[in-house]
Amino acid sequence: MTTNPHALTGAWILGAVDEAEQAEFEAHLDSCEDCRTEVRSLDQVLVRLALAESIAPPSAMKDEVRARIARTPQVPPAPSTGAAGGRATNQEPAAVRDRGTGAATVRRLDGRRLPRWTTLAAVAAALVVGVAGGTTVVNDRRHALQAEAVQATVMRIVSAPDAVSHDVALGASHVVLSAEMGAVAIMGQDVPMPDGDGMVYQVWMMRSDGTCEPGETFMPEHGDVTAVVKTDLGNVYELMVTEEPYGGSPAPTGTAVATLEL
Amino acid sequence: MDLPSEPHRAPHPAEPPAERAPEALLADVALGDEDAFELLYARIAGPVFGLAVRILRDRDLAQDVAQEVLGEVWRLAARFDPERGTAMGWVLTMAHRRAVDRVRREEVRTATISKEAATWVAADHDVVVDTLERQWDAALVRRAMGTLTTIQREAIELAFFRGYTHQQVSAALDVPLGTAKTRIRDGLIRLRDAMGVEQ
Repeated sequence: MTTNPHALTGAWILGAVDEAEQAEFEAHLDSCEDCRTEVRSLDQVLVRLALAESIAPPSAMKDEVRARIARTPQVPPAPSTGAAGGRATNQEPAAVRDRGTGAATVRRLDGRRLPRWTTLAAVAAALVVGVAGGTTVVNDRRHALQAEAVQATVMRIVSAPDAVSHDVALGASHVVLSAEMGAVAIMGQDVPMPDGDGMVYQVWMMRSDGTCEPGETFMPEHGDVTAVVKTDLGNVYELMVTEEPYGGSPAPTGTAVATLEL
Repeated sequence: MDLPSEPHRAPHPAEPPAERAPEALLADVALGDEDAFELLYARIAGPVFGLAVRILRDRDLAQDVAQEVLGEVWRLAARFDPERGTAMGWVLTMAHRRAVDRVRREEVRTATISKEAATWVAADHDVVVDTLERQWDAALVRRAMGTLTTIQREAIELAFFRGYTHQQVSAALDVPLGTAKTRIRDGLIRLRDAMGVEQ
C-alpha cells in the first residue's frame, strides 16, 4: 500500500480512481470497518446528487429494459464472505426498523430520510400522517396511489429549506409555501363541505401585477384536505379560496371562504 | 372559522404500506420477481437516466447506459449486500460508474465532448410530482454545495459530473497530486453533514 488508503474513500465512491487504486482500495475495504462506515454514509451524498438530476426517461426505455431482463439470467447470491450477515434476510437498515410507527410512516411517504434542520417539517409531518391515516382507507388502488403521490409531494414542500407555514381559517387548515420549489401545500382537518351543491373549493393566487391566477380545486374527504398548487410565488401577495362549480373556473365566481395575506 | 381544537389523530392505516423500501424490492427482484422489478424501476429509472444524461450530455447515449444499468440491477440483484449500503446507493453508484466509464471511452474516441447539450424534456405524465421531487433535491444540493470551498466544489464537480480521476482533477485545478482526493473526501463529508444524511 503506497499511501494512506483511508483518504481514498471519497474518490472511490465517485469512481475517481484508476484501476490499480480501485483494486487496492476494495481490498482495503474488506478489512477496514472505519472505511466501510464512511463509504456507507458518503454513498448517500452520491444518492442525493443523483436524485437531483432525475428526469423522466423516454417511455421506450421501459420496453427495452423489459426485453433485456426477459433474456438475462440472474446471478446467484455471492458465496458467503462471513462478514455480511444480513444478506440472506435482506433486512432494512436498523435506522428504519427502530423508528416509531409515526416516523416510519413519514419515511415511507417520502421514501427517504427527512432532513433534520426543520422542526416545521416534523410538525407538518405529524399532521400529514394524520391526514394520511384518514385518506388511505380507499378501496380504489389508483386513487390510493394518487393520494400517496400527493402526500409525498406535500412532504417535500414542507421540508423544503425555505418552507413557511400559515394557518388558514378553513376548518383547521394550514398552508405551507416554498418559493424555492414554487409550490404551495394545503393541509386541513375538519374542513366543511362547500355549501353549494356540486361545488368545489378552488385556490387563487393574487399577484401584485393585478392578475388572479386560478389554482387547483379540492374537496374535503371526511373533513380532511390535502392539495398541492405549483406556481411561481414571486409576486403573490395573497392566496384566496372560493367555492366554484365542479371543475373549477378560469376566474373567481364565488365569494372568498378563506384568504391569506402573505 | 373557529379555533382549531385538539386535532384528532386518525388511526394508522391497517393496510401495509403501498410503497415498499427499495431494499425489500431488490430482495424480491433477486428471486426473479418481475413485478418487484417494475416497482423498483419506477423509483430508479428517473435518477439513473438523469444522471447519465448529465454526465454524457447526450440522451441517446444516456438511454443506452441507463438500459444497461437497469439490466444489471436485474442480473446482479442477488449480489446486493445491505450491510454495505442502501439499495439506492448500490444502484446509483453503479449508474454513475457506468456513465463515467462510457464518458471516458467516448472521450478517448472523440478526444473531446462536443456533443450538443442535452435537451431537458420532461415526460408527459407525473410531471408535477417528478418536477417537485427534483426541485426539492436540487434545492437541497444547491444549499449543501454552497457550504463547500471553491476547490472542494470544483473537485467534486469534475469527478462526479465529468468523470475525472483525482489525478486529472489535480492537474485541472493545479493542486499537488494527492490533494485532490483529500479535497473530494473533505467535500463529500461536508456535503453529507449539510444534507443531514444520517450515518
